[in-house]
Amino acid sequence: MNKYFLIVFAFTFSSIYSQSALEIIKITDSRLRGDSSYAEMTITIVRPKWEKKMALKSWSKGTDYSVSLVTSPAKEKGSVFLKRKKEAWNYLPTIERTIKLPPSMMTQNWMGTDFTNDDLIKQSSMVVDYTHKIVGTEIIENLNCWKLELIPTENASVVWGKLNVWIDKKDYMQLKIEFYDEDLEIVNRMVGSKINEYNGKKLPSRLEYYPLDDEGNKTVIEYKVWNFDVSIPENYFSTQYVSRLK
Amino acid sequence: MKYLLFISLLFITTSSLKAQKKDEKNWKNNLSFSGYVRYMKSSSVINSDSIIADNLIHNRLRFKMDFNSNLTGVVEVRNRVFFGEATNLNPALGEILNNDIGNLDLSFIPHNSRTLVVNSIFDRAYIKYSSEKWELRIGRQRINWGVNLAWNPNDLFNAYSLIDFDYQERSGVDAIRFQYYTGDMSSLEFAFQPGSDMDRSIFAGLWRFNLSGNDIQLLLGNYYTDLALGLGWAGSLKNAGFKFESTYFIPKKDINDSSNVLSTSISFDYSTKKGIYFNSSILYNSSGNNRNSSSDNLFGSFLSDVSAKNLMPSKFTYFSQISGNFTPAITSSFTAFYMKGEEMMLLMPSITYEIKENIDSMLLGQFIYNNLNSKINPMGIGVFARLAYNF
Repeated sequence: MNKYFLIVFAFTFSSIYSQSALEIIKITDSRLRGDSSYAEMTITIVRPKWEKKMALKSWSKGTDYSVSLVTSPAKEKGSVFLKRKKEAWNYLPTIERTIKLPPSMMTQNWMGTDFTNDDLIKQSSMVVDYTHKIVGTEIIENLNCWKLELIPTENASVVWGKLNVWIDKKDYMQLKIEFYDEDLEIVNRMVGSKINEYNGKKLPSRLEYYPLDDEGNKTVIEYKVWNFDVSIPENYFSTQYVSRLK
Repeated sequence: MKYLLFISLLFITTSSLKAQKKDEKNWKNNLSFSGYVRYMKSSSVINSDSIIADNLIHNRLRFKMDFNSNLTGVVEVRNRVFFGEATNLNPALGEILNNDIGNLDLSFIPHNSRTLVVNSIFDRAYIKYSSEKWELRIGRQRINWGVNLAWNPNDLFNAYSLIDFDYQERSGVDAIRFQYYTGDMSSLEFAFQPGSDMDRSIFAGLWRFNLSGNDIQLLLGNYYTDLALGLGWAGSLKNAGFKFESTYFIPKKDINDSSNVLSTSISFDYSTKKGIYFNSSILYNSSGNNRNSSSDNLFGSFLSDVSAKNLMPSKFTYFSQISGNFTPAITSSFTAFYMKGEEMMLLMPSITYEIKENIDSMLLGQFIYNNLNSKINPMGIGVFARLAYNF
């Protein structure tokens, strides 16, 4: 019995090792998204002498549809960001208007944070817009991780020149990402920590983004609720529903 | 209209009572309350060297009550207290503010003296019934049909001026509005702002849909004495946003009349990686002036006489805005308007600093120049310092 177990174990192990970089990225990406997801999170922008905390609710379906509702602070409460495939809109409750955003808005920093709209909602980009290579293994947060190097494909419309991604071998969590610009200079670092279990999936509940040019600056995302494969009505991802999101 | 509002109010009261009986705790959970208090100090120089200062305490209260998952009541009130030199110099201020342009008089002047004017106006008071496929709103509300930032020829009900920076919410109209969702990204909408006869009313329908990455809207309606035909389009050209908005006004009495008016606005917007946002627009008003009208109140025309049919007094007006964040706490923008023909220019720089989570401050300037006999003359300057607390 033990012998069989060992064989099976060894086989599984070797098959994990033989997994391609692309497969790893695909698994980590699909784990982070599920078929659909609902999350409640806080985003804190930290500057040496200043701090701002925002709370958000966010729904997503597949890779194409996502919508986020700001629930605090008071001034921005009720603002909505809607994305459908390549189109994006912003709903402002004070003027009761939905404004269509120019495509260039996607590569700019989101609401004063240290990550872009793209970072926030275009996760799938890691699968389709880059070529992938395993370049080593390292221990992060006491977990054995693959280190992957992602280089954008020639026609990809991405902001980054290169990404280094650390993914743990057991639960496929992205625990660290280094963002390089087009000149291959490192500009941002993302670090995941405080691992929690959400619907049986282990994921870091705290993500910190550091812009490396500005010491003392960072943006922290903390997930309070994170549910996967929930049923979300189709009309949540529509311009006519933005004023009714709760 | 008055009867309708009365019936609506009755409806609200009875259904709220029902809700109250059902579940006292739930009732409180379903009431939401928000708003702001602002203090603004303004200083202006108009055609002279003397500075006129004024003060404004500005409060907005928003109440929203969800009677059940379908029925919602909204009431918002704008309270303002004016005092200072400008208030003192304008004895008619109280009377002007007391004049509610809506069907119902919901503007009140609790105090009116040369030194202090207090005004309260309910600029939102409506109930809405929302179901999965449709929504009905009755009462004072904002009907926002525009797609552009600077000028909105499609905004038949609530056309506004970007220059009135201290009133983002805009006034409401007393109307009935029905929206029917024909799909996730398409809808049919009808809105009616009743007057004593059709020539004093607006009744219009709007059809919205999304076509291969473009938001498109078509409108048709009775706009006072005119028939209005409109088209709005929001799409993109490469990485820039492109918006087109146009309404054609045809007098109902005599179709062959030459007083048809075309109001069209085109804009481009673009945002850089660093988050600097550009917006450029042009407005064409076929009934606008092509040359200097030497009007005394051109600046007033920027603010008060704005309608979808006459958004600017000039035939062509240009608009450019650049805005961005220096830090997450500091936002700055620079806006320029140029009225061709009238040869008038307005420059509006502003800087906002978010002091704490709910407290922000703003400094904004308005500089007006005209160009007569190829000489640029300053016409007026306004400087506004504002402190706001949001709750």
